[in-house]
Amino acid sequence: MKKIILFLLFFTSLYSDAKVYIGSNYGYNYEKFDDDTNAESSTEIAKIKIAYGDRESYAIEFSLDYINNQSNIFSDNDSEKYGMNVEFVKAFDFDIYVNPFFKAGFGAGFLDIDRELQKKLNYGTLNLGLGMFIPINEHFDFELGYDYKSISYESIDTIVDEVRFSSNANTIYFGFNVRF
Amino acid sequence: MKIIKSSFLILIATFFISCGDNSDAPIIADVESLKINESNVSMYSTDDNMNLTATVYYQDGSTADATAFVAWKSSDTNIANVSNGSVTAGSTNGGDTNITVSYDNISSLPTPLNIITLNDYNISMIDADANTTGTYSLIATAKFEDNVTKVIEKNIVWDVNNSAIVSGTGSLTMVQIVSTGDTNITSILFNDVNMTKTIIYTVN
Repeated sequence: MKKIILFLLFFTSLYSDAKVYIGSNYGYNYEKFDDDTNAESSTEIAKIKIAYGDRESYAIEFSLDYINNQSNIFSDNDSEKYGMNVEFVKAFDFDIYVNPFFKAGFGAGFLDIDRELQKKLNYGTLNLGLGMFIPINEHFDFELGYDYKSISYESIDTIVDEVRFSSNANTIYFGFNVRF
Repeated sequence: MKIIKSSFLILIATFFISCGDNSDAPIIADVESLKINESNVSMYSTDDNMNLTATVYYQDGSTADATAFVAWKSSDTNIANVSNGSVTAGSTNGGDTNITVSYDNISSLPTPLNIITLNDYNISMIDADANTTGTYSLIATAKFEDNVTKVIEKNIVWDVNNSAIVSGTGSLTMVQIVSTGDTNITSILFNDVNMTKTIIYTVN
């Protein structure tokens, strides 16, 4: 019980100036697979998010990804990817015009594939990122950032084997946030 | 100044990241079909078993042995049963059935399996003239519709009286004669009373 109270005190102190904010990002995503296949995918990525936190300290973000996948890595007809992420953001106020931040979190997503035995492929991600908020005023800011994702895909069934793939994805993005 | 520097670095990074390409060929071949390797298979209705194998064909032309990974099915289990590629004759004396393999929503074409009908059979004891108690081999020999003669391995049940004991199966069936007098050794095939044979072994 004490731990819960302490955690709540800590949590509320962290978020003393916290606000809900929403935002959207648009960027470019490059994904490279770990194995010898040299498979890669590069395309646009769009993200919307809702978050709670302070531009100058901590925040927690929940976001939805849309990746306009143009590659056919798992089947002859791979679809776009949809994902969701939960990330913890730590921002800083160095009395410069921008607020640098880094973030860490995890996510999950899926894409439709066209294989005899599978029509959908799920994946999980481990997320890291850094960037900066560029404030316009108290309620609006731009965001410039870099995201790294370590992606682990659900195994592919070949009847005699189940093959699991993983990849690394790098994203550069630009976004806009509205803070309430 | 720092903002300009950071933005510049990001732009450079964007440039390098944008150089990526899109792979357009799957990195792992999709399944094309499943096939049973043997075709027009036959076995005798009293054979112990027979092995079939299955292969998965992939779209890139490669193959793999799928025998242990697929579900095997016989269309008539009275004629024959199949499990992991091992076919055993059913409880019926001969007939036709189809064997298929499947995995999820993929199935093979059926492979016809003919179980050859037994027409008649004989039973005997090896060294039956010994006229003494002891353990002897029992053997049942069948004649099939294709005129082939074979030792019966399956679908036969033995019964004895006079305190004798039967052990083993197929060509390894033994009878232990323990008492003097007549011992009736009876066999029945396919649980069919019309396919019963009896021999009498006498120890004076």
